[in-house]
Order: sequence, then C-alpha cells, then structure tokens
Amino acid sequence: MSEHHHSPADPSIRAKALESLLAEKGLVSSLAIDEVVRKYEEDIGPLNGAKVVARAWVDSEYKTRLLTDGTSAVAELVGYNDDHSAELVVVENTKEVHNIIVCTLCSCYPWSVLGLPPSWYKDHAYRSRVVVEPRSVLEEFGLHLSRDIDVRVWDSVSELRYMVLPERPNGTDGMTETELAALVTRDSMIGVAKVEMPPSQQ
Amino acid sequence: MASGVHDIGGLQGFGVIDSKDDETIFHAEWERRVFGMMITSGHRMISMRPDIENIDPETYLKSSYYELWLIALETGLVDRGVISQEELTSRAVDFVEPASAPSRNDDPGLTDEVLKRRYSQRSKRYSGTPRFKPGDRVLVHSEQKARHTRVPRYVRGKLGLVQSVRGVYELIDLKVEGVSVPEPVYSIRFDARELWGERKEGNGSVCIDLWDSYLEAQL
Repeated sequence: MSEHHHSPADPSIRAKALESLLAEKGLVSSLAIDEVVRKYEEDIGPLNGAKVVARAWVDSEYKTRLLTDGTSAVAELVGYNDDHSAELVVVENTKEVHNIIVCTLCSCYPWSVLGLPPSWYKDHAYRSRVVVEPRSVLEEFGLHLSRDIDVRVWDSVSELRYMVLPERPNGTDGMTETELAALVTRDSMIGVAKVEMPPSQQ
Repeated sequence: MASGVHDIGGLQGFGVIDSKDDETIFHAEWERRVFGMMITSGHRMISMRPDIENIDPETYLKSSYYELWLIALETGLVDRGVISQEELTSRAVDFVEPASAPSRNDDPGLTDEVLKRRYSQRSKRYSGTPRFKPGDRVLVHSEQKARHTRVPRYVRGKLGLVQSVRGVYELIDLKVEGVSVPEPVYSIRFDARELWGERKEGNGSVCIDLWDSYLEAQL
C-alpha cells in the first residue's frame, strides 16, 4: 500500500474538515478560495513591482507620484489587485540612504506589488534581527554597505505597507522600460539586494 | 500589559537567516485552502492577528506559517461560536483517507461578493486633525493596555521624531474589539542608538507607523 492514512491531527486533514464545515454552513465560497489562490500563484507577484520600478526609472513625473501616493501610482500600472485596506508607501534608495522592509509583529508585506512573501521574510531570524543589526543581515544576503550609508529599516506594523524603490544601476541608459523591468528582483524591492546588471552586459 | 511571543523585534538567538528560497508560494494543497479561507472570510468572521497572537508560545514558535493560520482559524471560529470543536474533531475523521475531498460551496452570489470586496476599490477613508506635525519629538507610551496592539516592545518608552502624517485609520486595538475609533497615524523615526544603545553597526534608524494614542508629546 503506497498511500498511508493521515492522522486526524495532520494539518491537511484539519483544513479539509474546516473547509467542509464552513462550506456546508454557507460561510465560505469554494470558488472564491480557488480564485484568490490562483491570483497569488499566477497573477500577483514581483513582476508587478518590477514594472512600477522600471516606470519610475524612466519617467520622473511617475516617480514623483509613486513616492507621494504609492497606492494610486501602482494602481495606474497594475490596477487595484489586492485588498486596499492597506496603503502602499514607496521609499527610495539613493547613494546616501538604503531602505529595508520588515514586519516584526507578524509578516505584513506589500502583496499588491510583490505577491506573497518568501519564507525567510516570515521567519523568526529575519524578523528579530533586521531591526537591530541590519548591516549584518544584509551581509548574509551578500550585500555589503559602506559605513557612511544611512540604513533605514521600515517596520510595517500598522495598516501601511512598504516597498523599496531600488537605485537604477549604472550602464543601463540605453535600455527600454521592459528590459529594465527584467533586471528588478523581488529582493531589491524588499531592500536586501541591489539591482545588478547581468554579467553578460557589464 | 506585556508583549506576546510574536513581538520578536530585537530578540536574540534565532540564528542565521535561511535566505535560500525556492520561490514556491504554497508547499501543499492544504496551505492553499487555509490561505484562501483566511483571505476570503477574514473580514466577516475572524480577526486574524489577535487569533494568531493568542496561540500559546511553544506552539507559536514551533509551527509553520500556515499552521499558525490554520490554528487561528480553528480557535477563532470556535471562540466565536461559528463552529464547535466537536464538529471539527468528528469531521476530521472523514478525511483520514487522503483521496477524500472536502465539501464545496459554489454559490455565485457569495463568490462575487467576496471577490468584489477584496479586489475592487480602495477602502474607506477617515478624516481627523493630527496632534503632531513633522519634526515633533514624541515619546511612545511604555505601558500598553490593549489585548492586541501594534506597538512593538522595542520602541516602548523610546523617543522618536515625527516624519509625516500617514492618514487617519481606525485604531487597531479597539477595531479588533468591534469599536471604531479613527485616529491619525504617524511615521515615527527612531535613531538606532536610542533603541539599542551604542552599537558596532553605527548609524541607522528604524521607522514605524504608530497611532496617535500610542504617543505623547516630548518638548
């Protein structure tokens, strides 16, 4: 027998029991569950954030709108694709300032632009350490910042969510908005990495 | 009231960050369903964060992310009388055979309502007059009375600088009790030395959004 029976305490069993009860009582829509899962697996992810970043790099008026009212500026490009009880604030990395986002109390994250967070963002190690030793944390991600850079950690514990606008790398002057967007990584919009040129183009 | 185990900013001993990431969003089908149940039912039936914070510390620290969501859903719904523990326990027996599928409710009206609520528009705005302005120095109350609050332990009793007024939002401490008290929320910047003392890491700061009633003026 290849398939074993699960214990009733197993999360997979308990989730089925819970969904069945809620469905039978008319309290959840199974179709709505299917749809939100599909959206976060297929539609809503860091590509949205990358589009926003690339536009801000090529269009200074858009960048101003983005830094002033992140929620509206993101909606211009990707629509209101998430629960907007949370407003989005975009913080800009410069030569002098490096921003990083975290949520020490749970795992608040800018879903509308980055999708669902990576595991490490939700783990105790990142949440406990990045507010007190951000430079050591960045070193573990392979990012070395010089001593004179002002490191700002945004602990997003209220109803606002944060995204980092990374610096545009040197040597990208001739690139199109689409090419630029392809350079932008999720980690650079959390603030644990910089945007780099691919080795072939350096 | 002191802090719960979830309030881990600044705690030591959790080790190195496992930054390897396979970019897989869900690692099992049950995680998809738990996520979906929480997201689509959240506003009406449960209050997710307080329910997660009520999980006992040992379970909190050893459970995976979506296990916490599942426990919060179960206990939150049982506490509110929406379902009973007996129902959950007896229903689970039906699913020990891995191939057995849960019941579905494909009511199109409810589906529309849920998706529209989540994806169609910006939420309601509130107005109010801010007590503080950018540049003001503020002290965070060291004592927090609410069962659920969003003041991390590491800023309590600390001095910060108002950077901006973020808008007016219902105070979360009371919103989770069903009471709506809109208040200004400020972005407050804390110098790293104020929070942690002199440190080898050097310059830096932590910025947090805090509700008005968490703060007092510091001249």
